[in-house]
Amino acid sequence: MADRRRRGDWRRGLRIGGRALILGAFCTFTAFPFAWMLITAFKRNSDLYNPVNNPFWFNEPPTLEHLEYVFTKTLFANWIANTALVGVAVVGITLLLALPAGYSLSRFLGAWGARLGVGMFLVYLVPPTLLFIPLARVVSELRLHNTLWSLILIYPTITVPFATWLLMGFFKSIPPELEEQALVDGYSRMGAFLRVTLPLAVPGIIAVVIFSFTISAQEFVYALSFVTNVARKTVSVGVPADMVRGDIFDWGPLMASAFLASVPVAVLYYFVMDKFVRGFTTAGAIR
Amino acid sequence: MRRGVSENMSDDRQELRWVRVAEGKWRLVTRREFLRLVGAGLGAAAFGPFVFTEKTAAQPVTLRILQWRHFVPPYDEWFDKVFAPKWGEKNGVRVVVEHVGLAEIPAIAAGEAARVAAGADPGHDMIQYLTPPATLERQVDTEAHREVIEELKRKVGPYIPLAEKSTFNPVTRRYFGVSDNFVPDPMHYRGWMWREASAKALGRATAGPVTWDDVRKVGRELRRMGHPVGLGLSQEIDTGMWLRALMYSWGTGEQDEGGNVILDVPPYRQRTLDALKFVRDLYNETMFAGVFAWTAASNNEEFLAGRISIAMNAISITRTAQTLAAQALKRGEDPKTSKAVLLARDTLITERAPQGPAGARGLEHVMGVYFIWRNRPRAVREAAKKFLMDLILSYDPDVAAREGWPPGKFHASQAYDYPTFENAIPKAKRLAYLRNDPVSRAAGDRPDKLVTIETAYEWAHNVGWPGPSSAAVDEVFNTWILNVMFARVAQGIDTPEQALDAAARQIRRVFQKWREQGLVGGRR
Repeated sequence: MADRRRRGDWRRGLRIGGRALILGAFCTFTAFPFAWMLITAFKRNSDLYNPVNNPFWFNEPPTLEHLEYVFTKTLFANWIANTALVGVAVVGITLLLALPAGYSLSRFLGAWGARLGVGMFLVYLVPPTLLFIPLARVVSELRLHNTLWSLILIYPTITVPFATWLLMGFFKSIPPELEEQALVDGYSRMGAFLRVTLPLAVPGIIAVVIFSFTISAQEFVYALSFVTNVARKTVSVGVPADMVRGDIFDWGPLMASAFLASVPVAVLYYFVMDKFVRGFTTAGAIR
Repeated sequence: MRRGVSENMSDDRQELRWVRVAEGKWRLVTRREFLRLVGAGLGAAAFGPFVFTEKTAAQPVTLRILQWRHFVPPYDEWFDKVFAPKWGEKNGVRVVVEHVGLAEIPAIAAGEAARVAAGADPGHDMIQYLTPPATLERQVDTEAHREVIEELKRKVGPYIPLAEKSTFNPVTRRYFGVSDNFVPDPMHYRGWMWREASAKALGRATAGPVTWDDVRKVGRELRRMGHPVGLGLSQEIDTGMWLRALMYSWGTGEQDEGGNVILDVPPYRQRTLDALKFVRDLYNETMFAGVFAWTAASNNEEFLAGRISIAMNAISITRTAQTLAAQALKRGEDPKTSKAVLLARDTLITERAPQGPAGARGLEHVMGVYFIWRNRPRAVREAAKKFLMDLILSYDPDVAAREGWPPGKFHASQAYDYPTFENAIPKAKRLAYLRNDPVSRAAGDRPDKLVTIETAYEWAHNVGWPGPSSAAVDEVFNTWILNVMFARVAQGIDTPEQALDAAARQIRRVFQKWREQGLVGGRR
């Protein structure tokens, strides 16, 4: 009996140990870039460029000079503000277009809705490196060159197709009977959509919000081509354009900027992670 | 007259029309007056541009320029805060300067070229490219470039062959840009390492590498010492540069002077094969696997970290070492023991490009070329031309001081920008700066360390030498065909013959494509 218990304990210990090992390895792998950014952001150049030094820790006292450089010698705060402005506007436009589109495709067009949804998703797969040249003409014709409006106009071409496809699947998972019940109770179609369907679709909406904001914040090609004024750049272009001189990379300021820019997104993900995952899996939408 | 009018008034009364004579003011005019006014208006519209040219040109003009964030920060300070605003003030032009990283310029230019082709406003009027922008020839104002170059030739003398070949298309006989500078690409090496290794490898300590054979023989020792040779073999710009320099020194290249592909044609074929075998052996004996993952920043970082002993680069390695040394001295470090100061002093450049069997041929590391988009408004076009001319004339510190924008292009760039109009700053003035270089002095380094860079006028060649830097040459460079050819042989994936034949096929396809567009010469 005691032997069996000991064997059981040993197996449980092994199982927990194995899980911890896998989880630890996974966490190390995913957290490493952030740790590297953080360490480099506070490392002195003399420490950073000495190959004899341990690259994973501080061999000389940490310094704030890179952060100081980022905030006093560059327009980093401007770039962050621009990114936030573009991100919020793109999220708004995306929701405004993708919510009714996803709902209509899932509810009113039957099999054609699914086909159209896939077609829209395929549009999302066309790479910006091919599209930026014709879009440059569109931006120019609209006289939006060198303005944030060019990005606010163009980014939804990436986010809306994917968001529509995502929301379409999400709306499909919500039983139509709930809306029909609302209609029987006297709601209009719009009323049923706003009061019954949308609250149930919150995880999907959060997924769209985060996806759209992240895409806006990290996009490079359009931001590089359409906005060249330093003060109007977004963070994804401003940082590499302003902290690389010829073939010299200012690694300290680059890492400090990357770290600072990733913190708000990481915090956002932390608070809505569960709903974000549910949004993508569409499971539990009406639990 | 008045009487006459009054006499006819009764007849014309019925033909009176209301005409606006000023903001909010209208008056009745006769049909005759009306026709006269309309005629005068049409005449003014037709001949106004010729008659009132001066007045039009004097209107405020905005000149929008895009250029790289210069490697030397004080240059941007001078350009943005001294030269551009003062020149603008003097010439009644509002100058807007925007900077981006050098790697971002081609993508931005591609977008703007599409807008030019569509007849739309490109966003900038003038861009500084860091390579010859031959592929953009159809979208740029080649006539304006010719005018600038010819005017400058009249004022300061010849345009060096390196610049001519990097901006002039002999097929269309057009200038697709105006080169304002080139940056030499010497070999950098660590002094003490070289002396120690050369003593063992050559039987005597030498001052530095002179031939490619020296690099190979001494490189073996350097690798044994733990400091291998660091010449990239990957898909990046520096690799493309040193491999071409080596090919040209072996007497071969992508094309001949007429634009014919020659690298696999006798007698060049054997020379290319010899170059391929040499690079394979150089890699096997002196380098390390990291060169296959080389980036544009690697030679600086690896050299300054003390890992590699030899690199090919612009003087940015020397200047970065000196900047770190100057910072160390400011922190109060002892110049005799400071690691940064010792590294700066020990970072040396070769007097010339290393010599191969056919000569000592090197490349430019950066080719500064401005171009003006076509179809810009006349006033903007003229402003761009004048801006370029005054910028190039401002190499001379005395000219710059006289105009009110000291210290001028050469001093502001700390001798990084070398003039393509050689006499834009006379040799004596260049040497005066280089013999008593303030940056070297501030770093506790030898003040005349970079004086030998002057010899670059004799050994620096264009990409595509001995032919011009054409659109085909540009595409071959940017698709890394030669880099891959050498890397596959060095890695043992292909034999030299296989790699050469594959590369030649690809290069011919590229050349043929551009020949069909009428931008490249040659037949084979």
